[in-house]
Amino acid sequence: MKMGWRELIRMRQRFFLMAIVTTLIVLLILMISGLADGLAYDNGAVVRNLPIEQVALSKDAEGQLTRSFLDRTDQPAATEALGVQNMVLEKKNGTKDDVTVFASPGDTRYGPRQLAKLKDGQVLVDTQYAKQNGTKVGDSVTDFRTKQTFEIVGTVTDGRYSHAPVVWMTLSTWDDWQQKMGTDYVSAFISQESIKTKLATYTKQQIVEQVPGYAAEQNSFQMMRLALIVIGSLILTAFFYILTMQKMKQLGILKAIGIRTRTIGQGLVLQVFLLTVVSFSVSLLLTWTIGQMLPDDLPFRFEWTTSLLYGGLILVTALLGGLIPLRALKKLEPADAMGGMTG
Amino acid sequence: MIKLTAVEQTYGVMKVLQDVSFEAKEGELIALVGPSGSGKSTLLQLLGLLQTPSAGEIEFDDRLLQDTSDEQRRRMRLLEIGFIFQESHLVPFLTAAEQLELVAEEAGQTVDAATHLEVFGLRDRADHLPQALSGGERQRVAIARALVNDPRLVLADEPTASLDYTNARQVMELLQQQAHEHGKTVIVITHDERMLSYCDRVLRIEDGYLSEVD
Repeated sequence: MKMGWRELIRMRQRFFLMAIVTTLIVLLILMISGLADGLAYDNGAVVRNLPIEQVALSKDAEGQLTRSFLDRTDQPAATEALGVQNMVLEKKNGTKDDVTVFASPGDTRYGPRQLAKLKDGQVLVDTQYAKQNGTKVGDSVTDFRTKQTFEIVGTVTDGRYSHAPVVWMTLSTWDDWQQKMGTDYVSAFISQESIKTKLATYTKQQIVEQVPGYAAEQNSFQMMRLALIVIGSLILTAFFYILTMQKMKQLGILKAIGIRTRTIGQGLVLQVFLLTVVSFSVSLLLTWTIGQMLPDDLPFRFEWTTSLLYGGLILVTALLGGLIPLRALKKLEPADAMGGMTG
Repeated sequence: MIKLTAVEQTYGVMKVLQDVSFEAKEGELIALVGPSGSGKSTLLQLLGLLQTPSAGEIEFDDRLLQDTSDEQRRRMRLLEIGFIFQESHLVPFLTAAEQLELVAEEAGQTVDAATHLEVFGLRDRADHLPQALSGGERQRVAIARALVNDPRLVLADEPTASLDYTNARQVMELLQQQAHEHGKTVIVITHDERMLSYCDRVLRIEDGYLSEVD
């Protein structure tokens, strides 16, 4: 161990480049993770923020809120009705935006508290959406399909569903809007407890995972993360392998004079461990700092647990990679490494 | 101390050593001379337990080396044999004192490296890395490292080849001292005829055959 530490400290220029490359790779992994987590959160933020455990949908909805059409008479006990539907919103200047409407009773236990103050025809919009589009409280917006006009009276934070901004309204406004389309339904029944019903029930997480595009998006990011971890580990392994190969003669001499492979190997493992931990810590700090500086509308989310999990994974793969030069070291015959002592 | 009987070493079809027999006693300083490629290094590696002979026997204090395990041979190299190489082959990131400590600690011993280095005139160099030492100083550190576990056999492969005459003489005097005053068996490969005067016996190896020079 002492030998590995002394080499790391006294030959630091040699390890510096490795540390920089490792830091950049880990930074890339953490940034990709942050974006994946940000997009995952953004995709189902409105559902995640509902303080519910279970959701009942129609059986053929396949877990998607916008595909579920339920009759209010089927509402199980101790649940609250929820309306969800896509809407094309037309602003005064004629521009159109795709939004998702969420509707809860005025006296909702799970939706935004501001709904209690809403009158018919009034809505709340996502804060970010309001900021980006110059829409402000007091503005009127129109449903492109029914030409029904809604008045924006407030905003809600993290109101996103399938990357689209959410418009919250009361079920009373929802019913009025649905009537104009000739329909009368709600999308889901939600509860903090398990729901006893013949309808299909899902956990909140399952509903989030069924948000359109969620799985495809997250699978792509997962592949990127895995590829980066593998690439990072391979680069680290290659570095340590080359470093070990360059020292073969020196290590052969040490083995010749009776130094155990274990003593030399422990130093190598310590170096892999310290280099990975230091690089990871620097990357973690950089990712957190970058996260703080990114604009609010960029879906980036830094989570300590996810980051530490990936850190652990990188450490394990780096240590496993370190076993390859260790194997070469174990097989090293001192006489071969030394070459002919003279002739 | 160490005895070779009819030792042969073959690599494929090439016989590097043939019918080599000799005995080295305690307190002897023996020179091993011969042209390049004659088998000197192979013989030194056999004596240093880094190779096993294709035929014949090597006895180290009545222990037949063919009967020892890899781990036993490693421990013998650590505790009973000291190696000195042509280029000092010190670990580049360890100070002179740490070079000695590494070997001593591996043997489960503690060593006062500074005092040990003083014997070789290197006390004020104890905290220096090899790159900060002269060639002669590096070689003396290497000798100190080879002797730190008080081995009974010292094998030196051209220890003076990269040194000037003054430093070379110092090294040979140190080796002679180890043989004559401390009773160690020292075997030295050398190409420098001027160094032979320090040796008690000279063995010549040519085409794999060993002979004693009168």
